[in-house]
Amino acid sequence: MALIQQDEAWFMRRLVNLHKMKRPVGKILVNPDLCKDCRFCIEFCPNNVLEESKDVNFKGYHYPVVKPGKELDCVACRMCEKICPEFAITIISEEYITYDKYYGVSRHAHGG
Amino acid sequence: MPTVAELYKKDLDKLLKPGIHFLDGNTATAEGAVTAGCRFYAGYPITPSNEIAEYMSYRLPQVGGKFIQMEDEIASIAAVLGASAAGVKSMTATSGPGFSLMQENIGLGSMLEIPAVIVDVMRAGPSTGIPTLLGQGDILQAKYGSHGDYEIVAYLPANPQEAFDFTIKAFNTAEKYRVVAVVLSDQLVGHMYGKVRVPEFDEIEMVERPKPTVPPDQYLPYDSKYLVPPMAIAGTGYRVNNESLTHTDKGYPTTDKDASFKLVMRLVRKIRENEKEIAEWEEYLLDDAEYVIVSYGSTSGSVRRAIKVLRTQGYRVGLLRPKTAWPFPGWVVENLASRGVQKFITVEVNMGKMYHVVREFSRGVPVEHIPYAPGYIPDPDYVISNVKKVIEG
Amino acid sequence: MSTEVEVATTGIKVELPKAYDDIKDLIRIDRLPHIWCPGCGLGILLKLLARAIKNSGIPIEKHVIVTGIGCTGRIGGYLRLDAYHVTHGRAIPFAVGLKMANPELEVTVVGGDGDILAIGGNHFIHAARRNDDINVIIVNNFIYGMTGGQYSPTTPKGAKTTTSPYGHFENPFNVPLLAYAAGASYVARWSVLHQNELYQSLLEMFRVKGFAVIEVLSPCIIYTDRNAMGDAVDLMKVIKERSTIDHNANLADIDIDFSMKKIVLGNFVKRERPVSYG
Repeated sequence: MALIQQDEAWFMRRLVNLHKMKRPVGKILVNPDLCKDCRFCIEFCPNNVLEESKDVNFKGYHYPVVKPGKELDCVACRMCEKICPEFAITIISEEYITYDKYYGVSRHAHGG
Repeated sequence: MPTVAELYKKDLDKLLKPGIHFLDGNTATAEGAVTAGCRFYAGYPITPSNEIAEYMSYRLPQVGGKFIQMEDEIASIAAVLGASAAGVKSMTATSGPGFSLMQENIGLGSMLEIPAVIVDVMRAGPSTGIPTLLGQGDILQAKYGSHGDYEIVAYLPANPQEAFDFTIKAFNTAEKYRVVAVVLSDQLVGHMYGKVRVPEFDEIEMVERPKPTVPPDQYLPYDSKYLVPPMAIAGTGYRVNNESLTHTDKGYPTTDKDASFKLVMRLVRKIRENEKEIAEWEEYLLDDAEYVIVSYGSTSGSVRRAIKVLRTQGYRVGLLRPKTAWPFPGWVVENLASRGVQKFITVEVNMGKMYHVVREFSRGVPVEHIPYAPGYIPDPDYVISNVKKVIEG
Repeated sequence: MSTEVEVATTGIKVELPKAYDDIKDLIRIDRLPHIWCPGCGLGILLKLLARAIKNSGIPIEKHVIVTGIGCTGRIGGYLRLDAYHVTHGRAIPFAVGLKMANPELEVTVVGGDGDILAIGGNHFIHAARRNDDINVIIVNNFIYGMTGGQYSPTTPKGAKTTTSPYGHFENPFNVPLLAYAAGASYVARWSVLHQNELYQSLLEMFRVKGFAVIEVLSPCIIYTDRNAMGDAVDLMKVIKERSTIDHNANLADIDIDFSMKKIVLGNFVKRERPVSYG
């Protein structure tokens, strides 16, 4: 959101090659059967991408799901994967997107 | 059968030479261990076993072994088990109080099935007792000291020659059956000087632990199809999980009823099904005996003299001297009982230890116990007068 | 070696994510999910230890893990290595025996604070005095977890545990100071949150010749629950906010008390001391 304000209000201060800058975006895979609902991944994600699911796994634990609308906020830092004690969550693909206007980000797939 | 000559080809000149030597019991025990292949000793000083530790600290570096004095007896037996797990034959020596401390780890050695030898030079008890005088009070503790079900093997030397021989036997039995073997010496045997004859090296049997025959991905560390599973040594790539928790064949901990039953049954069957091969005893004038005296260790010399005198006085007595306390040769007692022996008499320097074991097998034949002061062996006159009292009721 | 296995006890399909391909032959996947509680730091230590063993430069066959009794003691069962699960507190002398018999082995003892410092305290200080060439990882969760929450030698004064319902009366150990005073060659303290630092410290521990001790602070929901600290994740947040890294800290000042206001982490000691045997 801050980027939009900056963009519109400080039109001349915008980075000229912003549309060329890319950042990684990750796709998260959760194995719900292994999760024990410790909430480490939810807590330590730097962009607060995850939340607890509404339904439970076969043991009765809630497992992490991506917050609706935040699918592109994951930067593939892999903190959730490192901090999970159960091997339950991982990043399975890394792509790159550009920092264009926030609404319509154009995606350039760069290997993965 | 493999012998010392075959398995120690290049180091034979470092072992005690075959022939007659004049040694004390503790030194004979130590030399027996070195001849049997012991190359690691971890111990803690306790009278009257100190001579074994001191001699081993001098002797082991000469044969390429290692010695360490640990901070207590519990650390000693743990280090012995660790070294044996890494493939080196190891032993420790202690006395009554230290033996009591080692019990938990004797259970560990039985559960992990790691061969080890403990020499218990018994002394007068209970508690600190008389450190410098003999005792015979650890007979039942050797077998029943730790919690749960397990089996150990225990030898009872009566003189320095047997101290040498039985230590070698203890190592062989420990390696063959993957158990903890105890040599129940006592202070008198340990400090007594005597003639020790070392046989030729190709006459001394030496047994190594069974080795795995399959590659690591097919290997099961506690394979129940063997009574004594082959043992994978640490660092050889078998990546074995050795568990002190009740475990399955694969070594994983379990609470399953069948796995628990199977494991405990196998641990005791290892020795119980082979007891006729392991047990040894001596019979002296038993063929026509009406009264059988059961005695072992240092007291057996005194009892032998007493029997000679009693025979001249017309009493038909004989001596049964167990050379292995465990497994106890119960079938010999049963045979004697059914053959018409009238009384069993146990002469021990304690308030009744092997007495209970003889009672278990005596088939109703009365068993009497003649105790004596811990610290001293009864002289023959004492034995003669008390045996007469027992015989005459 | 497949990365996907069906676990007999639970019937679920366990698959090790691709990111763990480098340690897939070190983890016993057929025993996952492990028995530790939700939020236990031991799961994280398991991953870091496996990776450090893989990248230590020492052949995996030469690594041996010896563990004691307790929650930490179960870690050997999840690693596909030569592992010995021995009696309570006696892992260190067992490891000393292993190392003396075969000096080529790389022996690591992993134990809890109660296992190594209470019943095993005597063995700990003597092995440090002798500077035996073994590695010791003390997983400090400030409590006896497996048996239900009794106090341990590192439980801070004032904490509530099942055997100190009125608040704990005793002073806890300062573990790095104890290890340094007893004679260890390498002493460090990290937490399971500090992934990279702990990993580098584990690699250093394998390189050190001498007695190496790493104290790993780990959350335990039994400790946090009884002391109104919330969940394991709340203790991790406390560690994140209040821990400082100071490699040159004065060891006498780095106690951790009940308020946990000051948590000092770092690689405190690295020195050359003669190794007694070998």
